[in-house]
Amino acid sequence: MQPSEEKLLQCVVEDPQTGLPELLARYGGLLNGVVRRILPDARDAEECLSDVLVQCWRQAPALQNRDGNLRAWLIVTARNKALDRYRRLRREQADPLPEDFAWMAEEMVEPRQSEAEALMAELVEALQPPDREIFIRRYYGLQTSREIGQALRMEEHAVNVRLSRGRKRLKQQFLRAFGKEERP
Amino acid sequence: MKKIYEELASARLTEYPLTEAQKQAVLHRAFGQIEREKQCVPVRQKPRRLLWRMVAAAALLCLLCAGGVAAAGYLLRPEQVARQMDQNDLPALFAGPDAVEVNETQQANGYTVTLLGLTSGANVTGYWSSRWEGSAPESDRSYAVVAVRHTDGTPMQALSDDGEMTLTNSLVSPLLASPDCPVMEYNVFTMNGARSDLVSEGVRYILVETDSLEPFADRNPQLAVILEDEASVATLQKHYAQDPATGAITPDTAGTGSYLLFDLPVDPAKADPGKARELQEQWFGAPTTVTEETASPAEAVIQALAAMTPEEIRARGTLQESETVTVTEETYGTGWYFGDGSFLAYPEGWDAEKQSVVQFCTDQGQVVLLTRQTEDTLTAETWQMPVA
Repeated sequence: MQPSEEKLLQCVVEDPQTGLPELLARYGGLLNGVVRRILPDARDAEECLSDVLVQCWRQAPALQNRDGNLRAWLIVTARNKALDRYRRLRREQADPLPEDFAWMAEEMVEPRQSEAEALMAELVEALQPPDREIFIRRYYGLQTSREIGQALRMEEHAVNVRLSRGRKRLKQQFLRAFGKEERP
Repeated sequence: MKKIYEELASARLTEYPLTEAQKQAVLHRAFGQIEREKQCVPVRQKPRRLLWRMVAAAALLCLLCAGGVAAAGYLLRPEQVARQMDQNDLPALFAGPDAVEVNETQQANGYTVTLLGLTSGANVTGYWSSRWEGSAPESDRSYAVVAVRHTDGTPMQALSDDGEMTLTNSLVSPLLASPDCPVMEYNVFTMNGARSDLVSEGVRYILVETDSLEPFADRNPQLAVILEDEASVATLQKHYAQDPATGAITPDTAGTGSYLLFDLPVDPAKADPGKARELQEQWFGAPTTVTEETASPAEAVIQALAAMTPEEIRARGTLQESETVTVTEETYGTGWYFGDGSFLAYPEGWDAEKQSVVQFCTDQGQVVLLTRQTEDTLTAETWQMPVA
């Protein structure tokens, strides 16, 4: 963890009234960018971001002792909190999520959330460039194919093709891991 | 997995800046939750003594005879509730001269809720707030008791069942129906609230206490009761509409949860503006004027940029990028999407026919100006301003 992140976490532990506003100032735009992909309503997104801050406050002592990265942890936590909230609000949502986000919302549920998270990371880690970055942007940054294409200077269609292939593999792994594999 | 996290740590992802108001709302809610967790608001259950076992057995017999319907009509008095919660000094306050018996009943979505009464006086429950650390705490407190029953008479679940009603899916909160006391700011979370629950003979009793409401007696104290929805400031704000001119609060009657509102009859003669100001300073901090000395350098830059007109920005800044974008509707809303994937929502209250508008600015001196061109397009200009 970078020294500035360690310092920030220390502040969150010792004085959340100072540490959390600082954390929000530093990462708020990034995290809002993630949760708004799942929660189009600004108020839902705000509530979700509050949940992320509270989770960070709860986990801060453990995060200090972990050899990780605060920014990455926040992105994953924001995404998962947004998916949790989406599941709770689903009956009120007028617009459905894109297919793979909805699928993630189905899979990333307790008690197997950690296992699902590890499986997804395993698959993404095994991908070669540029697929790995495409999937990081899609499944962690929740970006659209168009955005990914613009960032990586690729045709949107090419991004879609790569996502489609990888998605099939990911789905198979999940089906296998969680005993839902379809019989031939 | 670690490797992915390392890559994720450096991935350049689209940001969607929060406004100051949004940041405040996010922090407000987070601090409310943290404060509740720090306080470990107790849900007390009275230790079962032999006498009460006998009473409970008798009540159970009654329930069985009535086919599982709780005894209707009989409710404990506030002092009895306090006593059953093992509050030794609170019953005297509920029996004292400052106590008000209310016994007003409202119904919503299968629940019947009765505000039994309220009182104010010394801090007799041992409530302590971390905000009081290093300063003299002893604020007087207000206490109110509500009874919650199923309208069909089915007994409320025991506390040990922990499924029907919890601290996170129900909320009892004082509010002030006054234009200078927005719901978002004046509620149980800011007023150092605490809550205790008790289920007796199929009725759930909730004792809520806060810093004294008497200094605010001239601002129409009310009591909101939320059932089957998240216990949060956001829920209060969403389901209790407040008229900004009069301060009048209207609960939502169409939502899926139950949102009730009772008047709290606190004697207006007890209003004390001086004491109210002291409490406000404790809840929100002493009033400060944001100046360049008090604002952080980053905030000062943003404030200065936000105060500039589009003309001033164009005169002093350097144009970095100009792009005409189209309104699109995507998963996360209707708005305008930049080439790098950034998203802009339509600015509220913007008379786009007349002028450009500063959409957002950063502490690095970047300013985005929007100008509407035709029905569905607008030009987004990114300007770099000199930053000291």
